[in-house]
Amino acid sequence: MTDAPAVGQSTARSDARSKVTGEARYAFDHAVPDMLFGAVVRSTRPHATIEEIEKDQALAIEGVAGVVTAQDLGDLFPRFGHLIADHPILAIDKVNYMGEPVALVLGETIHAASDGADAVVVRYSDLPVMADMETALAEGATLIHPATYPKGDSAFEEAITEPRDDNVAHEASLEWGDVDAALADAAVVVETTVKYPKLYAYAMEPYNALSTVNEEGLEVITTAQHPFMVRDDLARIFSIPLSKVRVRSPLLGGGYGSKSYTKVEPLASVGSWYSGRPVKVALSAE
Amino acid sequence: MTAETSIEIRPVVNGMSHTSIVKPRVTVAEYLRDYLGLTGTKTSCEVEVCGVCSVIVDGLPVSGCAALAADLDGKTVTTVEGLATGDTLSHLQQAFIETFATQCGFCTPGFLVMGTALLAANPQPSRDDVMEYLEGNICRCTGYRPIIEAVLLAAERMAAPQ
Repeated sequence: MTDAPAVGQSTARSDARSKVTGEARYAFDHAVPDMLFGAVVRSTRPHATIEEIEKDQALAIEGVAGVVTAQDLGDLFPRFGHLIADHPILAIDKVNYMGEPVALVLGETIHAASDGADAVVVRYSDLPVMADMETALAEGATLIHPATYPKGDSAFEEAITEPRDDNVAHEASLEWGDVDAALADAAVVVETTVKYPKLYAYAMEPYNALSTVNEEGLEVITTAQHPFMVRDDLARIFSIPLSKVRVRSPLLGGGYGSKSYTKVEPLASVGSWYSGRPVKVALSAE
Repeated sequence: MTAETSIEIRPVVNGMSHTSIVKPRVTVAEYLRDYLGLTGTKTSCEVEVCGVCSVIVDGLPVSGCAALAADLDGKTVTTVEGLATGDTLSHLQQAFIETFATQCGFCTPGFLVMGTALLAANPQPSRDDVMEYLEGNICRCTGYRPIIEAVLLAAERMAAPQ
């Protein structure tokens, strides 16, 4: 160690050398023997009930090892989510958005898995689309989430334990002091409505997870910014103690918050639970 | 359904000769990563937009996600793992460290490969030359400036008398 102060001089990054030689290993770079690849069949409808999922054509493809749907999850807890556990691992009876995972196809190669995903046939029955806030909040709007949900991570207090008759997910009010008096006395009162655009923070490393589920527990290598929250979700899905869930987050290929919270770890994990083999799910930019 | 044909290829990758049997649809990036274990080459967009999969094939940069391994027969391939000479980093690799041109590092291999190809073709590039040559590579962390500085610094050192 040097006696020179750290402040006021440049210090080389400890990981810089491995990153310029290609030795740096991200979750994306991990592979294990006997691993299957998972490809996701996604909803082509914004809001619909699932009438039928046909697996046969996919299963007939050489190299396809299995097709997993919500119907195959048995006694597993089928959802995840840190505030409210309202996010199905695989769509349960209905899809709530375009791109929602409907089935996971397992293949000996990524090509077999993606061919299989293309071959799965899903029949939908469309429901009214609530694509903007005004439509979703209108009187008599179709409920997007008709179910009740337990609360998510114990650090949060959110839960929807009573069925709601509207599409309001959450209401919050922030105030302190005598607001009415302050408004009455104010020289100027500014009121505004703020709308957030659809935003996505693209990290160069795609979402990916490599999960191994066996009688010893669950180990997942994942590109996650919040591994402890991922651990909570996985422990609940499999009803196993936190000590049986190991979440490894190696070097992160960018995140910017988009890799906060649980993403594809449940998919890879139910794939492994279903097949008895390690499963890697790496999403493409599509 | 007929079984896919398999193709034998004999590329030289980072100075090492390989003989491999690949399916026709296997990409260069998949071949390097999954067959040879050279995971320094990344993939991200997989539609030839982001540049993280760049490798040098017979002296020219190629998007590894959009080129087929079957076309590598007899070709010479250089990946990020082939840029150093033993333990000695290339000028560009060293410059990347010194200018803090890496953050998350996932795009770094692609930038290093493209920068290496640029310096081979144009040893004294202007700042504009560097920006133009690297415009096919996306970095979401650094804001690009330190990467451009690294290429210019490497060019300066390569031109200096040894």
